[in-house]
Amino acid sequence: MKKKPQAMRKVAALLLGVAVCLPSAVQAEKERRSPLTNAPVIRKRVELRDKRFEIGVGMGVSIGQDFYNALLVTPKLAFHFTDWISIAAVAGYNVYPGWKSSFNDDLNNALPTEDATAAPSLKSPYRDEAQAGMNRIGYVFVGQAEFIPLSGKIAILSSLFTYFDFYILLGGGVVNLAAATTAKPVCVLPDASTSATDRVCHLPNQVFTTSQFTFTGGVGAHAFLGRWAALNLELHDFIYKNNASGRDVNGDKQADARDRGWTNNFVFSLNLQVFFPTTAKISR
Amino acid sequence: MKRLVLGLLVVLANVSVGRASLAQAPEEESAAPDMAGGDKTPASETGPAVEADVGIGPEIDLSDLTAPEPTEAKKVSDPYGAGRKSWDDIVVVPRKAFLKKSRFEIAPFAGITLNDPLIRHYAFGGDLNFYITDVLSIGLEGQYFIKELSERESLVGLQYYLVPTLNKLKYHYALAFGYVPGYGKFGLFNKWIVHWDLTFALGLGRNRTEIIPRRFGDKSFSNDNIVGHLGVGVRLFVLQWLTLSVTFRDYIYNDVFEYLGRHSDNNDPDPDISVVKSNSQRSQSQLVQNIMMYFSIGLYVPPSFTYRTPR
Repeated sequence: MKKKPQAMRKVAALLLGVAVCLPSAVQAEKERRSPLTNAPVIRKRVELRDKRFEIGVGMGVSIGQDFYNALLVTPKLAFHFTDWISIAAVAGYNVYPGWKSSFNDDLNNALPTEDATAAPSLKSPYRDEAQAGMNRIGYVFVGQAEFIPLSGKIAILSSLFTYFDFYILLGGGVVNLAAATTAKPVCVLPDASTSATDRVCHLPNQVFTTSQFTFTGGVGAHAFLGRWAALNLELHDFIYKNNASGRDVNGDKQADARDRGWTNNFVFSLNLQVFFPTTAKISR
Repeated sequence: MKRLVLGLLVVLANVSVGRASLAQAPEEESAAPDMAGGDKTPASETGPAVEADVGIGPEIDLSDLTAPEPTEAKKVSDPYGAGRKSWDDIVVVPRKAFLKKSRFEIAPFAGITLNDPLIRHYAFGGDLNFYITDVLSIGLEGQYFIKELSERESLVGLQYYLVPTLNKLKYHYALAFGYVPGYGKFGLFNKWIVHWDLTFALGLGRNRTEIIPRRFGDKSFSNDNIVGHLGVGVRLFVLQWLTLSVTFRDYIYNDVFEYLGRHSDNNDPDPDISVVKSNSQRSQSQLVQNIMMYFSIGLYVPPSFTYRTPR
């Protein structure tokens, strides 16, 4: 009979112990998380773009143009709302409008010249006619939004460390297409015995020179030389309607607006950009 | 009664010891010294890859801080400041995420030519590289090409009454040397760290090209050319055995095209193909630059690696 209260006391002590220990054990499990939980992946990060302007100038070159390459002077002004989003105005002015592509050179060499002593070319246009129809980029001016998801640093030869970022861009603006000369189609006599009324005229060009809307999309990167200066590489695709040859494309034997089509025009540029203010914030 | 009191005391003592241990646990986790020597634990399994961006290590940073901003420094140095996070005073420097030394890379790739407005080639092939060190490799590459004539090529006939002189690429193989001059990492939305490197390549090999006869039905001939190439690329490290790469290569070689007078010789308007080839070699040989862009997947053997330096 004496053992009963003793057993009761043991059970009560055990229950009390469990009641005290169990919640603290559960809480301990909760608290046993890594102290790095919720920490940002990079701390004391140099926010090289946040609330800063960048301005600079450089050179750009077209890639894969059919007839004329473009060598552009490319001023750029941008403002970064945050470290990862910005807007920019980019211009390009062609300073070497006579830069023929190798395909244009080959074509030029293969076409006949208008020579009174040679047999007349009945179908192929003469060199001057062909050249007159071709257009090239005169200038381009676009506004673009830039999204910068990737930024970090790179070690060059394990000794030089620099910051960089990669971004994608999207925008629109104006492109000017220019042609150097204009020429009327040449009409030739098939041979000396034919009369003037039987002349054969080459198909006419319609030189497409205008300023028109262009979309643009592309990618870019900054390689920072310091906290206030960076090399800025950009690859733009300017998408606009064009008929670069100025000649018949759809086979209806005339060159007109229906021969124009959407074209991709790639330009690679390298700028030196300066950032304002010249100091950058550092994150926690 | 004594037993009850004793039992309660033991329980309280356990609870207080338990709490003291809990308070120390994070310090143990964060400050546990690493033993020198091998460690097979991947960086991804050691908790979040957090790192400080400035003022750590012996790096010669081109854009390093000369004077950290005082307000930020004050925030961090204030141990009891408002809004202070548990991770504020823990510094983590992740190791290099990927080691290549003494590993083979098998990299199937697909590529496209960039610089010819008349003919486009799609390339399918692979690289087999062995890394002598973490930055130097030697390897073999091989690729097969499929041609596609562009819209501009079809318009040459319509607009100028001319037929372009073109060659198509058949295949290419080379011995190549690789060098990695740069190793970088970037934060993706400040959530993940991705490691990457910059690669240069230099190679020497052979390719086979074949003329596309201007006149339909004419026989064609092939050329075997010695080809040198330069390459530059970017490689992203995805897993211990997997990488993704984008590479640009410039192949330079001397090619022979169909000569212009193939059918204009009145004495022999349809010459034998061996005569066409020899005449072409004499008069229609030209230096060609073929710039290509490739996407490749790198598979590494052995599939894992061991760190041999202290963390």
